[in-house]
Amino acid sequence: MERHFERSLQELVDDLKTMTDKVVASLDSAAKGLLERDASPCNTVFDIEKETDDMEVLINEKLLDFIALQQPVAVDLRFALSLQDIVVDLERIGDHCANIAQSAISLSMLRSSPDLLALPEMIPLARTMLQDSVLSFLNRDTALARRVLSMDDRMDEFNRNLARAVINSIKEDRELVETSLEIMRISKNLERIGDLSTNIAEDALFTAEGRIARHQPQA
Amino acid sequence: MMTDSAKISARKLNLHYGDKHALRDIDLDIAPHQVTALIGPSGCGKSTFLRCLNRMNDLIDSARVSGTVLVDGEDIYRKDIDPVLLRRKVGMIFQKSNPFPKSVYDNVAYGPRIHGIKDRKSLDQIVEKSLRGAALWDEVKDGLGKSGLALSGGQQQRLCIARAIAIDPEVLLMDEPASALDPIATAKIEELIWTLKENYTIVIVTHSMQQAARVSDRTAFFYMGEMVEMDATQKIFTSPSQKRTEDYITGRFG
Repeated sequence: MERHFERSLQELVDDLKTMTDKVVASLDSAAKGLLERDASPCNTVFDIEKETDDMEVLINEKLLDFIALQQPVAVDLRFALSLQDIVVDLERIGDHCANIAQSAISLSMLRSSPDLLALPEMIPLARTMLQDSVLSFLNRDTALARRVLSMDDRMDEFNRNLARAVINSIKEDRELVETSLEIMRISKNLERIGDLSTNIAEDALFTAEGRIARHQPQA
Repeated sequence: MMTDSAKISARKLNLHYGDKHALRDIDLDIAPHQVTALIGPSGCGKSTFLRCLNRMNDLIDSARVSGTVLVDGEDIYRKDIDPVLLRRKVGMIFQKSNPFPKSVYDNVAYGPRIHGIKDRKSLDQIVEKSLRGAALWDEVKDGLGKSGLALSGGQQQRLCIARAIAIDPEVLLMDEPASALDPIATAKIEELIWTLKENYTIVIVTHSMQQAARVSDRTAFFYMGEMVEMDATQKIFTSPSQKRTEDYITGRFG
């Protein structure tokens, strides 16, 4: 017999999947707008941002009920506490997607197409980190969570190198200042998406292993 | 192993009721001045184990015990141990409160009188001290002559605790002491347990996970006559080591 407890838990899992799908769709739309120099997919991002804000509130309300009424312990308690963190992280990732979309709109208005440097590589990396972190949480897959943590070093390196390249290009051609700043802003936002995905992976490890992985040397 | 500092140590403790093997090789240490909760599904052996600690199972003909139980390092199953003296040191509080059909005063004074205290002044002191210790004094001090049976359920249970501590035990065994009480009376008993551990070592059997989590320092999980896991209560309820423990406390058994 499926218990009320399991149903409540499954509902939270389903809501998290829905919210994650929305945030991934948001990143995809922002990326499409950027790569195709098209403002219209970027507008979708702003619509989705509103939806993910609503999802964050909805999941938090359900979590409050779940903790108060089902009184979870052990792995279920760790799941609930982690989920509370994760929806905040996802909502923030949604905000970063909106920032990227804004920059993409600015860039789409330029007469010539700018050099996107490493951005076309950073976008799929951010997407993978985001998706895999949530997947590792849902499947209690600690190996996958640790892979996400290790991807963050690559993301940081991309961002550092890109910043250096942007500074050099500004030095060479002052005309490129505005464009370069937008590129750097997108890179910074992708790097933040990587960080937040890392947080989610750490929550996945906490849920699966019962140890707090945050601010600890990687095991 | 914490044998040296343990108030009670069970080693290779086995108990059979006739053909039924009710406890299997239990090794368990109970620390002094702590609350140890025993949890597990019905029939897992937790109450049987509790009753081994003051030889209450002696009263059951078919029960056979092997292995050792040390209280303060002394084997309580040794031939020359007087179970009555043992039970003075290791008292028991039951699920259903069972005051004698006597006054509140006489309920508490009953044990000390049996143990030879006749002097009224000493008895008065013991009765007041015990009732205060059981957090009942303020509620009954003006009606010490009233029948213990006239008290509410929660008060009756605290009267039984007062009666138990009147003979100055060192260990209190509690078998689901709050399972028949409403949440307010339960909260009072739980609060009392928390204060009693300053003076006593407490072992409590409970079916309420929340109660075990709230009142105990350490929790032992029993299943089918075995002790599966014992650890700090905080550890058991956040990340137990054994899958069977996790399945039980999260309600995923079977």
